[in-house]
Amino acid sequence: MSVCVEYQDVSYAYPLTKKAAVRHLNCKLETGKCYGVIGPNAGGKTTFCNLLMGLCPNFYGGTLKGNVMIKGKRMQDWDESELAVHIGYVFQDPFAQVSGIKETVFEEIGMGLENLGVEQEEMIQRILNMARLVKVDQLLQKHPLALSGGQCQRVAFASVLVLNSDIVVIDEPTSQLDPEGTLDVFEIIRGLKEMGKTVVIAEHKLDLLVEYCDEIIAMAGGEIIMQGPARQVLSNPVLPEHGVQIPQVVQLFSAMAEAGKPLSSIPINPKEAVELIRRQKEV
Amino acid sequence: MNEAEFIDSFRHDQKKGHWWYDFNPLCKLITVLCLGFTSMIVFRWQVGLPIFVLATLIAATTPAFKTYIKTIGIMFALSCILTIGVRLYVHMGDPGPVAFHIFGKPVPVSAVISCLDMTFMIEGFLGIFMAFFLTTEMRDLCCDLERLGMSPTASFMVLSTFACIGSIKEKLGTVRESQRARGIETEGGFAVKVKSVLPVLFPVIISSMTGIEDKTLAMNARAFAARGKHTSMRKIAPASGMEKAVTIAVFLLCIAICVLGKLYL
Repeated sequence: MSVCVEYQDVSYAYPLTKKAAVRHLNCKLETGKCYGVIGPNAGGKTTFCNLLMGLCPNFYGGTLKGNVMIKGKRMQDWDESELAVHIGYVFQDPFAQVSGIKETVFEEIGMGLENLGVEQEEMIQRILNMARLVKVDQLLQKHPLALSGGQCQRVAFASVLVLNSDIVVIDEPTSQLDPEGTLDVFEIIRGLKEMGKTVVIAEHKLDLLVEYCDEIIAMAGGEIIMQGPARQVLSNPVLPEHGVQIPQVVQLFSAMAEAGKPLSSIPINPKEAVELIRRQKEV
Repeated sequence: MNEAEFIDSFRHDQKKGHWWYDFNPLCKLITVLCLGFTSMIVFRWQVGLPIFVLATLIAATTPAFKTYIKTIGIMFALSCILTIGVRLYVHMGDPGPVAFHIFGKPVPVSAVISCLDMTFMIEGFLGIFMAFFLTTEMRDLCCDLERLGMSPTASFMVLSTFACIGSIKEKLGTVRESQRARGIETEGGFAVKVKSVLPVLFPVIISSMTGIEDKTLAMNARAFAARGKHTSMRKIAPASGMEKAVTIAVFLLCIAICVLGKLYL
């Protein structure tokens, strides 16, 4: 797979602060993969996403060292409006993402296409396709502000994905959603992966990340502690030392292994744990 | 409306089947501006009154008449009280011939005329603008203006300002509900309502502003900064020849009224 994003020794400090929010970031993101960014609060997850979208330093100001390469081109060399088409962005507050000027979900989803000058008939087809994909096709005539948090977040996804971005950055999309809304969001992420999009998701819900992400990027103190496949990263004992939370199932089975319980492997999600216990019983 | 009808509605010009609602928004705005400012510039009841009557007649043909009459009625009462107080009772200078007495105090004819001028200037101005705002969707007006070259950014600013007023009103309602749940009196007369709203007004406005950064980012994610052609999902019919003719006629008429009014009234 080709590399679509590369952080080359990236350090960044927000304006009016001396301490860098992230330091010496070096990582590569491959096209079509789903990356979960985990870490404690103030670990640098959001800044990692902001750098990818060009918001740091284009929007926030501040000092950037190193290069963020997007599709082989330095982020600073991208035209801001062009970058917005290549990189979609969904964030935590569903209602803050509603434009407030459109009176139906249908028009709300189409707003980005209007900005790109897409003709009406094409716009209609793209909106309908996207609405079906994120399951908001029953809500098209509703007012965007009359939706529930989960529905509104799905509309936010549709509004961004309708632009057909290759890379989708999602910053804590489920923090304000109920369990059902959370699962809906992760189902959309599964759909994105199937469409071959590169997905970067900063999230605290580790059990779900493990299930949906190809790789995990663990961050703490503004640095990348580890990057790799979920099993390799989450079963590493170094993470808790840096304050990076690991899934409860990993904590439990690691403790069991330390206590002398013979285990063939450490499961990283409940499904694997059930399977392991079943096998252990059979043995 | 089923989904197919709803989607199909965007393929045609937006129409409501009422002559005033469907009057081209930009032509309507120009007409209203001409009439409203004529009332203000001439500042005579002989001009303000017909404009007010015209606005009321227009509003009477629309479903928004109830709201119009309620609001204009309040404004009429307020402006009457204000102008009676100021113009009739505190009349300065040479009073001239007396028209009638209020509580033993003579009210001169000039004060009555001055009062009528002020009242109908306000009513003419407000009436015609209300007849416009109650029957025109801002998004349609902006769409029409964008077609004539206004930038989508300016259009967004106008629309989000109007939307912001609505959201502040909604938030105030929510705060009042929560105050009521805490046992604070929110129902009653005008004074009680003002007393319950005032302390939370500024926090509500400030909290509305805190969402601006998120909104900016969300708009950025939707290619708001994209250069080049901008399209619109809603279609607004361009002004017809008749609409243009009416607008030009009103404009010329208003100029004539302003000139003649200033010379002879």
